[in-house]
Amino acid sequence: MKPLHPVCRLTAVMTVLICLMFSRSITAVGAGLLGGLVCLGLLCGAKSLFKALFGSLAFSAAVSVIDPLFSHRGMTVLLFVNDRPYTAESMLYGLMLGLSLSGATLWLTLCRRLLTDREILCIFGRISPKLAMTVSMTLGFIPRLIEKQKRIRSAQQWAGLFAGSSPTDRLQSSAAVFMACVAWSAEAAAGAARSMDSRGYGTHSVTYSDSRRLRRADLVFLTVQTGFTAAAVIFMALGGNTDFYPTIVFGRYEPLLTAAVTALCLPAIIFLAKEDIQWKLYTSKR
Amino acid sequence: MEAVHLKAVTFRHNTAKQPALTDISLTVRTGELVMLMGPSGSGKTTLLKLLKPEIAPFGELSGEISLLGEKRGGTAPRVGYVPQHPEESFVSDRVRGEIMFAPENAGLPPEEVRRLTAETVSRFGLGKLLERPLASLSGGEKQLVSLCAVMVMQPDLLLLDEPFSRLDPVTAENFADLILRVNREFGTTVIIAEHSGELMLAQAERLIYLENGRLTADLPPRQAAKNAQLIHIMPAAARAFAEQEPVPMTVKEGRALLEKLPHKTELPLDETQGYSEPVLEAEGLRFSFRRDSEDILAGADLVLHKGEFLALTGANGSGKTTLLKTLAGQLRPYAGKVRIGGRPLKKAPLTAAMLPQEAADLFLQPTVAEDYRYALKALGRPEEEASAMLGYLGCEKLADMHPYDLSGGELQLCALGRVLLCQPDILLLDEPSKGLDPLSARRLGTVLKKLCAEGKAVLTVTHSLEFAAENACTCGIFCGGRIESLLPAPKFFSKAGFYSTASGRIARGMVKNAYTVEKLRQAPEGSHA
Repeated sequence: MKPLHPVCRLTAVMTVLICLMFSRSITAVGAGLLGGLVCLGLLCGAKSLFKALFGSLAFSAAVSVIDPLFSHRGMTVLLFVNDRPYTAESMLYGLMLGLSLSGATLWLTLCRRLLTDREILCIFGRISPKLAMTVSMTLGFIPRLIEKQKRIRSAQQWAGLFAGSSPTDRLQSSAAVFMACVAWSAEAAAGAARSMDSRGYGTHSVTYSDSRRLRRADLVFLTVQTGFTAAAVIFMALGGNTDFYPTIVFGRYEPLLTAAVTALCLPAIIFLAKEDIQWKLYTSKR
Repeated sequence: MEAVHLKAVTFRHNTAKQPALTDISLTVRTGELVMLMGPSGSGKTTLLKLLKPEIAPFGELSGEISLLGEKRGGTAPRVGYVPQHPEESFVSDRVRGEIMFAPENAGLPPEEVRRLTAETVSRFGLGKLLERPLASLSGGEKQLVSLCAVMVMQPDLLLLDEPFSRLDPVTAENFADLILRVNREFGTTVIIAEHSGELMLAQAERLIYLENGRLTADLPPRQAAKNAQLIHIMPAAARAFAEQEPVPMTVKEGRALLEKLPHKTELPLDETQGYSEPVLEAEGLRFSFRRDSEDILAGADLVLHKGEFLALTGANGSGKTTLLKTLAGQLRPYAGKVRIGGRPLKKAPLTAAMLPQEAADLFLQPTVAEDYRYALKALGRPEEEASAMLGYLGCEKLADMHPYDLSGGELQLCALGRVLLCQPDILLLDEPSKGLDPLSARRLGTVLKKLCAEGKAVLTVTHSLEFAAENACTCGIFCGGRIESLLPAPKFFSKAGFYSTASGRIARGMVKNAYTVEKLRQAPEGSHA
C-alpha cells in the first residue's frame, strides 16, 4: 500500500478500527477480524497470519469462557457455577468482545506495519507538532527503556547479584532496577533535549518534508472508505447490532453492516494482494 | 578570519565549587583542524559545549567568547556538535528521521530539506542505511549517522567529542579520514576533543592541551612532541622517536626514520609464561539468534588458565560480546560446551563475573560507596569491605560521587571494583579500555595484571591493540565466529601483519618483535635492549 498517501493508509486502518470498537455485531466484528488476518497474511506472510489467528482465537475463547462467570444474563442456562447461571448468551457476548479486542489489536499492529513513525509524525505534527514529537519520541523510548532494564538486570547477575528466586528477592531486585532505570531515563531525556536544542529544535516552525499532495487515487480511496464508514455507522444506528439478551437476536441491518465492514477491509486487501501478486510475478521472471 | 576566539574565559558549573575552566584564552582560525586534548575531567567537553551556545552547561561564565566573528549569544552561528555517545543524542528511531531532524526544525522548505538530506546521504555513503532503525546500527555506523545529522546543516565549525573512543581500529581510521575530508575539502573548521593523538594529531594544525581546566599548551603537534609533559598523548611514532629531529608523527614517517637509522633487525621476544590450570574452557561453541541467520559463534574454542590475562581483539560487530555472554551463561549455545573449573556452568566450582561494556549499568545507587554497600549486603558480606575495595583500586576519593558523574577511567575502575565484590575467580571484561585516556588505561592495565598475579583469570575483549600488547599474556583475534591465532601476546604481536599496533606497523619488515613503543625505542643501534 506504499503508493497510497499515508493519510489513506491511516484511514484504511482507522475506519475498520472504529467499526470494531463501536459495533456490537458479532458478524461484523468477525468480518473485521478476518479482514485484518488476511491483510496481515499478505503483508507479513503465513507464519505471522497463523500466529495472529491462533492468538486471536485463544484470546476470544478465553474471554467467552470468562465472561459468563461475571455476567449471568441470558435465557439458555448451560450450567451453574456457585449457584449462578452460566449462559450461552453471555458466552457469545464474551466471544464478540474477544473478537472485537483481537481485531482492534490486529489492526493496530497493521497500522505500525503500514505507516512509519515519520509518516505518523507528519500526519499529526500538523495538528500539534509538540504532541506529535512527544508521542513519537515516547514510542521510540519505550523499547530503549525495556532494553536498558534487561541490560541492568543482566549486569547485576553477572556481578553476582539477583541470584535469589523468592518473591521478596524478585520484588527487591525489580525495585532497584526500576530506580536505576528512572535515573537513566532522566539522564537520557536530558541528553535528548540537549541534542534537540543543539540541532535547532523550537527555533522555527517544523517542516514535514516527507509530506506529499493527495493524488487522484488517494482521493478515490478516501471517498470509498468514508462512504463505507458512513454506511456502517448508519446501519449501526438503524439496528445493525446483535442483541444478546435475553436471547440472541441478529439485528435487522446486521447483514448490511457486516457487508459494509467487509467492504471497508476490501480496498486494503485488494491493494496488498495486487502488490503480492505483482511481486511474485516480477521475481519469478527474473 | 577567526572561527573561535576566547579571551580569559573562566567557567564554573552551578553545582561545583571549583571552576571547570580557568582563564582560557585561545584563537582558532577558519579552516583549521585543532586537537583539544587532556586527561579525563580536564574540561574538554565543557569547553566544546561552551562553543555551542544551545547546549552550553549552566553555570557562571566570565570572559569573552566569539564564534565565527559574532559574539556568543548573538545570532545563532553555524556550529555543529557531535557528542561522545551518539545513541544518547538520537531523537528519531530511523536514520532518515535523524538526518532530517535539523533541517526540518530549521523551518527550511521541504524541497530544501530533501535536497540537503540527499546531498549528505550521497556524500557520506549513508544510502544503504537510510531506512534502517538506529538501534540496529553498529558503533561505527552510529558515529557516522551522528556526524551526518550535524553535517546536513553544513556547519562552518564542527566540534567532535571523543569520536573514536568506541570504534575498532579500522573503523576509527575510516572515520578519521572522513573528518579530515570534511576539513580539507569543505573548509570546515574542526575541533576534536580526544585522549589519544594516534589517529589525527599528525594532520592537525594545532594541539591545545588542558589540564585541571587550564590551558597548558597551545602549539603545533610536532613541537608539542618535544614536550616531555605531552609525550604520553603523542602517536606511537613520536613516543618511540621523541629525541629525533624532526619528530615523526605518523607510521609512514616513523618507518622512514627507522629505515634511515642504524637499527637492530630483531629484538629478543619476551619470555612467555606457562599455565597449567585451566579454569574456563569453551569447545566448539555455536550460537545464532535465529535458526535461519548466520552463526555469530561458529565453533569457537577457548581455554583460559588461572593467572592468565587473555585479550581478544576483533572488529566492531564480530561477535566478541556474544562470546562473553555465552561464556557467562547468559546466552545458550546450540552446540558446544562451556566448562568452568572442569565442570558445566550450572555446577561450576569457581565464580565467574562479567564487567559489561556499559559499566554504568552496574550501579543501582546514587553514590559509588552506597552502591558497593548495597551489593555487599545483597551478597551477605560485611559492608566495611566497600572502603577496602575502594582503597585497593585507589578510588577512595570517588566514594561519594554519583556514578554518572565519573569520568570514563574512573567509572571503569569503580565498576571493576563492584564486580570484584563477588570475589570472582574468573573476570570477563567487555571493552574495559574503551574511551580511556592513556593514563587511565595504564592504571586499569596495572590493576588487571595485579589481579592475575593474585591468581584470578582475566578474559577481556578490546579494540585497543596497544592495551592488549602492553598488558595481556595471551592474545587472539575474533573473526568469523571463531578465535584465530590464540597465542602468547609476544608471539601474537610479533606475527601480526595488518592488524597490528602502530609500533608494530612502524617496525614491520625492519625490526622483528618491536610491537610496543617501549620495544620500538630499543630498536635503534646503541639503545639499551
